[in-house]
This record gives sequence, structure tokens and C-alpha cells, in this order.
Amino acid sequence: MSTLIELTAFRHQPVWEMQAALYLLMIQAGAWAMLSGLAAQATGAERQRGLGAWGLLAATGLGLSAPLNLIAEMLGPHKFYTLIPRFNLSSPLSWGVAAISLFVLAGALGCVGLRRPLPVPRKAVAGLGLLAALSVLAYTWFEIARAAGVPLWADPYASAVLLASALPCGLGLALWLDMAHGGAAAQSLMARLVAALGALGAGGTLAVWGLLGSWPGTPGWPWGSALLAGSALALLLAGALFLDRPKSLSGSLLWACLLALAGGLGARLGILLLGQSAALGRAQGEPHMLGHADILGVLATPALFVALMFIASIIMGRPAKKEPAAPEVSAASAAPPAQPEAPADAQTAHGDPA
Amino acid sequence: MSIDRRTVLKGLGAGAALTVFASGYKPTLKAIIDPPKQTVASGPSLAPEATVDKATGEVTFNRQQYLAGSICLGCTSICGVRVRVDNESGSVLRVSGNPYHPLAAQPPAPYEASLADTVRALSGHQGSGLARRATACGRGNAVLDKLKDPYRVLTPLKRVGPRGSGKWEPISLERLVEEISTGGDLFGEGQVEGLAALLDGKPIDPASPELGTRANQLACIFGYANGRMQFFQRFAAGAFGTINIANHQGNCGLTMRAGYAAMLGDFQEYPHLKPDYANCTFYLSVGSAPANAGNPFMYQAAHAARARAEGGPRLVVVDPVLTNSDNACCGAKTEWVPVRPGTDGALVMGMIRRILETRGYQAGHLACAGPLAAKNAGEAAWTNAAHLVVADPAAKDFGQFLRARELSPEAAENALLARDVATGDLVAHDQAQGPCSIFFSGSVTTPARTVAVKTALQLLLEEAQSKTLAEYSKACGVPQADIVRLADEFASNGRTAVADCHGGTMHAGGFYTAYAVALLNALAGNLNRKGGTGIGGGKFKDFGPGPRYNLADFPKKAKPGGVRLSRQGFPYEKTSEFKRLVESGAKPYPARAPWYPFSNSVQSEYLPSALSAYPYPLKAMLFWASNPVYGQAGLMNTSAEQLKDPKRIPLMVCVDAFMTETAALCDYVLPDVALYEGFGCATPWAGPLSKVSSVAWPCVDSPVARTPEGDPVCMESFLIALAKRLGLPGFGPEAVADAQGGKHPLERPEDWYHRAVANMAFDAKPVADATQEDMEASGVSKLAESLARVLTPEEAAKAASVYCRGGRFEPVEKGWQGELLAARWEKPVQIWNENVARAINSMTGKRLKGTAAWIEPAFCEGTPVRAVYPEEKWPFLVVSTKSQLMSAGAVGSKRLHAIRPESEVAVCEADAARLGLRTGDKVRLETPDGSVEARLTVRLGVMEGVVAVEHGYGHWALGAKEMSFGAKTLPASPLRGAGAASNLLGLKDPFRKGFSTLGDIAVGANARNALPARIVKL
Repeated sequence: MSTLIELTAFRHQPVWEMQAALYLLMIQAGAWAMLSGLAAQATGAERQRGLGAWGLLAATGLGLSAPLNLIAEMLGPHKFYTLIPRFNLSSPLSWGVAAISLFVLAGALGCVGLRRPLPVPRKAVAGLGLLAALSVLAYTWFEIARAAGVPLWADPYASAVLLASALPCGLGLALWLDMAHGGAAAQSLMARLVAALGALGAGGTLAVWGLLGSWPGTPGWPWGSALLAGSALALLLAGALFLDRPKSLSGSLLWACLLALAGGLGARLGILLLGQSAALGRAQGEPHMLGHADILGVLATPALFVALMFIASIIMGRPAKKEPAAPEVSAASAAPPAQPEAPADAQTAHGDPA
Repeated sequence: MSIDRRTVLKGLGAGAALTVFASGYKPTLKAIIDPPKQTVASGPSLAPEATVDKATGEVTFNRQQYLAGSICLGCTSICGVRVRVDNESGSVLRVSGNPYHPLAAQPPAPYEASLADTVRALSGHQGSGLARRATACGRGNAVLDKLKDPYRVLTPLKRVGPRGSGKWEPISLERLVEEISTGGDLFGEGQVEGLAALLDGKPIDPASPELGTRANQLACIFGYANGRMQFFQRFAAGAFGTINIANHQGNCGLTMRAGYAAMLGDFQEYPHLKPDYANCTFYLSVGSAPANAGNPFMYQAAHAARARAEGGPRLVVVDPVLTNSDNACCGAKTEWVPVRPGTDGALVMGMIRRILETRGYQAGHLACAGPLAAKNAGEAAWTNAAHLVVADPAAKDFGQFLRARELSPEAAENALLARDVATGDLVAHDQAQGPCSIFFSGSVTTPARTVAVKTALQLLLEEAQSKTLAEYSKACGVPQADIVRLADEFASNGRTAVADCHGGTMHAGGFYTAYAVALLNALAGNLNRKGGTGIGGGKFKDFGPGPRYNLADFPKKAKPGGVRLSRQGFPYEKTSEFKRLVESGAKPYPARAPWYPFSNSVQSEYLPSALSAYPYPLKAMLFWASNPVYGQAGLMNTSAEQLKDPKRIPLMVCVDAFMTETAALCDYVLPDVALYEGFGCATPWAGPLSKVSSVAWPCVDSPVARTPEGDPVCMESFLIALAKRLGLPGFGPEAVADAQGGKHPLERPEDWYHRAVANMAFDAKPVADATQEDMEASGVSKLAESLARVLTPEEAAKAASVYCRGGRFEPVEKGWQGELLAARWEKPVQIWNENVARAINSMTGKRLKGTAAWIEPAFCEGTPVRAVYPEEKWPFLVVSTKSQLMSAGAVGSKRLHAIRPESEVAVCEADAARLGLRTGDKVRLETPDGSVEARLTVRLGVMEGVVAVEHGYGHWALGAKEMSFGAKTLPASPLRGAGAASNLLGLKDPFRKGFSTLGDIAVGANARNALPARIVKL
């Protein structure tokens, strides 16, 4: 037993929270990115076309990267193999594995569909993606909300904050990636409004509910409480920035995304930390917790996601063997994609010069 | 294909990101690709302590480790354990059961077997393996964490802030001893009288000489018989001369002890019975959880497991809460009988009534009024069932046995009268040859008078018939048909039906409940019989006058006298206070606080009495390995501020390995050895039927400060230093006499324990000498120098053999002699106990009942608790339950916290639905004098109207609160404070003056069960 760990367990959060928080943020943001992409595709609007593509790409990247946090969190990662074949109807974990597998499959199919024709109807792939994304959101909701031993998590507000805060992260990432590749979806007030509402809703809920439950004397005070307050503030700021029409890649959208990501991660860390602190569950302070606490270990899965997005960008920048069929668009939505504010070297979602 | 600059940059970005990923994820990837070859849940497993050639059985010990026999102090069962220690680091690797020890192995290894033999028996050689395994329980396995508890007390400490502030400064042992000896203005709060001043021989109060001398103004409070208490008692009673020395019983299981003491007629030694678990056929367990807790835990839990799995004795557990003792899979082999808290006495008295009315008792046994009659009838015990009791309320000796001398001056002084069945004549019990009448109500004429008498059993029958079965059923919540069924089943099992009870009877009517349970055994006639109940096999000689050394007596040994602060064992009517009141014409009743004329070990009265300064004020308290501030229900929640007031108890000193709640309120705290760090010679509770003597030795180094001699600063080294400073007898040079009259020093702990172990080794037939291989394998070779210094070579070789095996153990089969138990209780079974009947309630002036009875939990003057705190306002009753993992002292074990981080506070589904509660809800549990916040569990297996609070959690010390030691600060660990402390719900007694906690009306045991309560959802 490490004396240091026990004495500091409530002052420096164990890494279990960090990797679990990262996992929850990435997989839920991925689900929202998928839903954003599918919604953008469904509109058929040319301006949303890039969002449709980058939503799928970001979702797939996050879907591939996020579960690696869970594997790393396990004391014996080699035991991960044993989890998969053992499906347990009553286990959220089993449903989670199924949902994520479906999610990655749907995302991968969708991504392939961006570059070449698929042997299955696009609507079927979209339907699969929709089901997978909703399954992921539902599974993560239940995983937290059904943690009866940790009352803070079992509270529906906790799950609501988690889900809502992931919306601006997933949608914001897709919007920013689209914008980085010359897309104009971020110019759409509707898309930014959805992201802003998610951020403001999550930030507001967190500020009211989270802080009400963490005052002096509660186990998480003061660091967990400060974390929640900071996260709420970040989300509220992100919400405000989403409302601002982006003018450059390093402008308001980027800051909105970063603040949303920071707020989302902080909210998860705070909720997990306070929940565990209050419930003293999950063997808080166990020695193995410290074994994963290096910065590189924490950065690994976000780095993988970044790498995947670079690779996607390279691939998407190359000409497709055969262009996929153009989405059906209505005359009203077939507005010119280019915006006056778009950078001169911006590219379309397909990587082609604007 | 052309690659533009942008693509190159993207590629570089991807490469950099992948590098970060690979670096960060490398350990995980490595573990996935190349998993550890040999893993257990917590990583690579240990190298084995020995290897055994499966074919030849040859044992090769791993010389990097040794297997020390020791005593587990994870709870009070004191099981034998085998501690596996790393030779190089000196740290404990694993703890398992001691294969020689009957509590750890069934059957245990033969005592003659070498350590290699025991290792071989645990191997696959000749297929022994699991069948010969020796186990420690879950707690015993995990409690080793406590050795490295960051909150351990490592050096003598003196408070530097107000009492209870958590601010300490380290001081030397010498300075501490000097300060508490001489006193003075020790804390800048005024003069404190030192211990030396209490040895002046002056009376506490010249107007009340019966109180004794000022030495009694030091109270010495300790925990339990953990193998070291005799040393503490030697100092407190034998050397210092205080009568105020008490163990933890008053806060633990005193009602059970007192109930058996009443049955067995010995309130001094407090013997108790345990079933012959291996051979009984029906085991009624009242207010105890044989598979969760109790003593000896592993022994009875193993038998309970056998009962559940294979159908040994049919096990019926009567308790408000379903424990591990029963589950649906066991079918009819086990049964849970839910009972309303505090009313188990009603159930048992209902059973007694049914058994008596249907003649389900062993009439032949009960009719044996004396030893001759019992011998002639082939009985293993005799009872006073047929003895005649004066039944005339106007008679001076009302409630007392009719003495044979009243009829015949030649009769023996203590001979009592009974009616011979054959002749119908009165006969002295010691002359009775045949059966005597067990039911009789009439009058007897002696030369002096004609007086109404009844037999003891007649009085029990009338007491049982004072209520109908329907009334008993209504009181306890057990259907009448079930009471009848249980009674009939108990009776139908004859001599192999047994009943036992324990902590569940710790309520304000507990003594009479426990007496009733004990008397079920009397009706079954099972005492001293195979398959019945027994007092246990006892132990080999150790601390008493032994074959080699006399550790009990020494020149100038003090003879403590006077009245105990707890007012136990002394009738109020003999006090000067009473006499003064009578002489002045004032009403002597009620007294300021209850007196307990026949009770013993009433620790629960010490702190309230000290705070109240009644019957006299204390000057100092010395605690050792005891934590009444946490362990006494109702104390901290009603008297916290007063405990911190130095004016009430001027000097409080604690010796403990950990900063307990009690230590945290003391002025000085001394460290102590923990678990396997110290010596000890202990004996289990009565469960084992053959002789069992466990020993422990310092098989791991203690991290505490050292004396100049190199010994750990611990209870023994502190008391030696204190005794020498105070000039007390029994310590120092020439303090211990050997069998030949030689004198030996008592300067170090080993001077005491080695000699006790030598006594053990030479008791009866001496044990064989230790072999070099056993000494090496057990690590006892480390003791060789110390043994050689203290003992003769002959003694050292045999003592080493005992240390190697972790004690001395008689073969288990010696526990029985044919159909009888080898160790037998020879005194009569007391159906009627005249010591109890003679006692007067000092709050009312009324006599107590002399036999088992159903007494509703009540305040000290008899008002039922429910009359003051009605069900309408307090709809629940709180009971404390025990976990098989966590105990109050095990808090801080990481492994145990990982499994069970907080206590269960449980209600049944019906109550939860009524209040709109569900599992996980935060609630405040309130009693009239206390409250705790808790998270609720809603589950089956809790009786309606009951809140079950798991004991051992919710600490406010032991690390749960920030502490500073000089410049060093240890922050609080909420882990230690998690859960609810059931004792903060305890009640005070509103019918008493001064400070109090609710106690049993007859023996003063602390009432922690059947407390009125309500639940408030937060």
C-alpha cells in the first residue's frame, strides 16, 4: 500500500478518472459527430456536405481511439480479449462492446462510402450509423446512470450533463474539421446553434446541479468542486463562442471547440471524482491506479485520433476512384457553398481545391 | 503521383501524433502483446514458500522466506495464523491458517509433525492438498495492511493543543513516564496529579472507606484477552493496586457472558458455553451470526458452512437480520427466524414454556440435585432445578435457597434442600442419591418455621407461564406456531440440541434473554455431553504458577480492594452513602446511578461514571488496546465535550498501535506493537474442546520507537518503565520466581513471554525440542539469542518448539471421553440463581428475578424504552450487525476497503416502499440521542420495522481526521470515515443522574441494539 496514495487520493484524482473521462468524452463526442454527419447528409444541402463527411470521419476516428482508454485502464490489458466473447445480457459492458463495434463498423462503412460505391444502400449504412450512435449514447447513459453504488452518478443530471457536453465537442470537431478543409457548414447558424445549446445546457446544468452538490465539507471539496466550476464556465464560454460566426480557423470556432472539449473532460473528471469520493467505491486509492499516471499515457488516445484525422485528410485530399453519387438536394438548399470569408486555399470536404 | 507540401505536413503531423500514441500506449500494447507469464489479480504471484516433490514428498523450503506461527488480531477470535515473511525485506507476504491450530485447520496437523510435514500435507503429495488446508478468514488474510498503516502511532506523543484537537508532539518514553508519574502543570491548564501521588495509601473518601484507597482513582481499561492482558493486569492490579481494571466485555458481549455466568453460577470468571459443533444435531443461534462473526469465528463458521452444505446440525438463526448463516439454497438445513430487536427473550421464554408444559425437558437430568445423584444416574452434570427456594415474600430469605442446616445442624454449610422423589422427605442436595422433585410448590416445616417454598424449576415454569404463547408471539413478532415448532424440534433432538447467543442480546433486556437461552441447554441436559455444550478444553499453563516459573505471584503483590468505579460486584445497600441516607431518614432509592451487585467487567460504566464522578472521581485513566469511545453506544454522541474536559478526568493515557477515537481524546499516547510484531500467549474462546494455547512472537520488526534495550516502545516496555519509576513490585530485577525459588528479572517483554512459553512447553508431558530445520523454516532461529538469554538451554529448546508451531495444541480427539466432553463444568447448573435473586435494583429498591425471564428493554428503573420513545414517533428499531470482513479495528486495510468500502444500512422492502426509499438514497438515521447519515440499502432479509447498521465504519479518528505530529501533518482520509457509526445512535438513560449510556437493567451491559429510531430522507 502506498501511503502517499491514500493520503492524497482526494487531492489528486486517481488516473482511473482521467482514462474513464477521456473514454466517455471521446465515445460520446464520436456518437454526436456521427449524428451530426448523418443529419448533415440528410439535409442534402451542399453547404452541409463537408460536415456530413467529417462528421463520419471524426466519429470513426473517435470510435477507434476511445475504447483504447478502457483497455489501458484495465490492470491486465491482455484480459481484454476475454471480455469480448463473453456477452452478458445484464452487463452494460457487454452492450457497450456491441454498440461500439457496431459504431465502428457503421463509421468505417460510411467513410469508405465517401470514396467509393458501397455494395449496400447508403440509407442502410446511414440507418446503421444512426442506430449505432444512439446505442452508444444510450449505453453510456445507462452505464453511469445505473451505477447504484455511486449516487452522484446514478442521478439523471449527471448523465444528462455528460451527454449534453459531448454534443458541442462532437459537432464542434466536425465543424472545425470541415472548415479546415474548406467547408462552410460552420457558417450555418443552425449547426452552431445546436452546438451552442448543447454547451450552454451542459454548462448551465453543471453550474447549478454540480455546484449545489459540492460545497465545503463534501468529500470532493475543494478540488473536485473547482473542477466542476471551471468546467461549467468553459462550457458556457464555448456556448457563447459557438454563436459567433467563425471567420478563421484559429478564431471563435477553434476556441469554442477547445473550451467545449476542456469543459466536457473537466465535467467528466469532476463527476467521476466527486462520485467516487462520496461513495468511496471503485477501490479508490488502490495502488495500481498510479501505474498509468504519466502524461504520455493520457495523451496517447487523443494523439491517435489526431493521427487518424491527418491520415483521413490525406486520403480525402486524393482523388476518389469514383465519386460517390451526389446526394439528392433540393433547389432551395443548393446554394453556392463558397463564402466570402473562406480562406483562399480552403478545400472542400473532398479535398479538392475550392 | 505528386505529393504536395500540404500532404507532407499532414503526414508529418500524423507521424508525430502516432509517435505520441505509441509512446503513451506502449505499456498497454506490451501487456497485450506479451502478457505476464504468471499473473494473479494483483500482479505476478509470489515464489512459493516451499516446493514438494509430488512423487517422493520431499520438501525443499524457500530460504528467502519463513513461515512464522502467530496469532491473528483481526478480531477477537484470536485464531492461529501462519505468517509468511520475506527474509530479506522482513515484510509480511501472505497470511494463512496455522496448520497445527484447531481454529484454522480441521483436522489440524499432529503436534509432533515437523513444519516440513505440514507443508507436505498441504501439497498434492498423496492427494492430501485441500483436505488438510489451514485457512485464515478474509479479514485475517487482509488485515496485514495495518502493519504499514500510515496513521500508526510510532513514538510517544503528548498533546499540544486542547484535548481532542489532534495536535501532538513526539516526546521520549522517559519524559512521558516522568510527567505522568510526577504530574504538575503538564498542559498549561492547571495542576495534574501524577500517578505517584495516588500510591499514598490514603482513602478516596474517609467518610466512605469502602471505596478503597486512592490507587483506585487510576482506572485501567483494556480490550480483550489477546495474549498480553496478563501483563497489563500484573501492572494494574498486582503492582499499582487499583481495583479498577476492566476489559471490553461491557461494550461487547457482556449480556451473553452474564447469562451463562448465571446459569453456571460463576460471576467472577464468567465461564461460557459453546456447542460441540461437530456432534450437535440442532443448533439454535440467538442474536448471533455464526457465519458472519462470533467467537471463535472461523471454527464455528466452518461448522456452520458444513451445516449449510452437508447438513450437519440443523442450524436455526434467530435474528432481526438475515446473515450468511442461511440462504435459500440450504433448504431445510438452515433456517432464519426473524425476530423483533430486543425481544428474543420472549421467543425463548415461549419455547421454555412449551418445553416445560410438554415435558420436552430431560427430567432425569434435572432431578439430579447433587453430585451423588448425578453420578448414580450417569449424568454429566447436575442442576438446582429441584432445590427449594423460599417463596414467602415476607421471609427474610425470600428468593434464597432453603439451607439444609435449618433442618439439621450437622448439614454442610452450603447444603441446600430438595425433596427426594422416592421418600418424599427433604434431603440435603449433597446427600441426595436419587431423583428429587423438580416441580413443587408448597410449604416446608423446619424446627424454626413453616415456610412457603417452590423448586427452582417450578419458579422457572411460573415465570414462563406469566405470559401466554400468544403474548410472547406478539412481543417478538415470531408466529406462535413457529415458537411451538422450534420448541418441539429443540426438545425432539434431546441431548444434542444446543442453544447459544451473543452480541444480539446486547440490549437493555439482554441479561435475562441470555439467561433464558442458556437455560434451554439446561432443559436439554446437554452440558458436558458429546453433541451438547461445554466450557472448552482450556489451555496449557502459561502465566499462572507453572512448572518452570511463577508468573502470577510476586513479593509485595498488591491486593486491590474497594468499590469499582463501575459499581459492579458491590451492593448499593452496603455503601456509606446508602447508610447515611437511611440514617438521615431520606429515601435511599433511587441511587444516583445503578449498582450492579453481581455483575463484572462493566466497562460501559467507566467513562460515564468518571465523567459523573460517581461513586468517586477518577484522577487518571490508562487505556490499552481498547477503544470505548468508539465502541460504546451512546457515549460519544452524548458526552463528547465532557470527555474533552480535563477537569472531569485530569489525566488520560493510551497505549495503542493506532490513533483510535479513544487515543485521540487522551493526553498522552504511546505506540504499541501490532499484529505479528509482538509476543503473546492466548487461548481461544470455548469452542475447541481440547487444550489450545496459541503463541505469537515478533516475527516482523515493529516500526515503532525503541527503548535503550532495543525493545519496541509498547505496552510492556512502557509499563516496565512506569513500574520502575513508581517503585512498584513485580517488575525489575528478581521479579519472577522459578519453580526452584530462583529469582529472575522482568526488565524486557521477552523476560515475561519466554517464561510463559517455557511453562507451556513443560506443562504435563514436555514437548520435544525444536529441530534446527523447524527453527530455520519458522524463523524462530531469530529468537535463539533471546531465548538463550532468558531461559535455560533445556527450556529454550522446548520453548522454541512451541514458538515454531505457533503454540501448543492437544490432539482434538482428546476433547471427548466416550459420550462426555473431557473438560467438564463441575458446579451445579443454576435454574434459579440466588445471587441474582438477592440483588436489588438500586434505582427502585426492588429485587431482581432469580431465573430467566422476558424483560422488555427498559431504562434502569424499569420503564420500557418504548414507553418513553413510542413507535408512533420512532417507528424503527436499530440493530448493529457484523460484517465477516470489516471490524472496528480493521479500518484502514486497503484490501478490505476495496471489497466493502462502507457499511450497509439496510431496511426491508416494505418499509422502504412505505417511506418512498430505494437503494442508494441518502438518509439520516435518527434516534432520540443521536443521528448518522448513511446510504440506504433496501433488501430482503431484514425484519420489518428494523434498521440494520453494519458495525465498524464511520470512524472519526484512525485517520479519518487530520492529525499533526510536531511539524508533520497527516491529512484526513475520508476512506477511514466512510459509512455510518452505529454507536453514534446510542441512547442515554433519562432516569439516571449524571452521564450515562443505556445499559442492561441487571448487569449494566451497553445497549447497542433495539434502539428506537426514525429515517429521514435527505
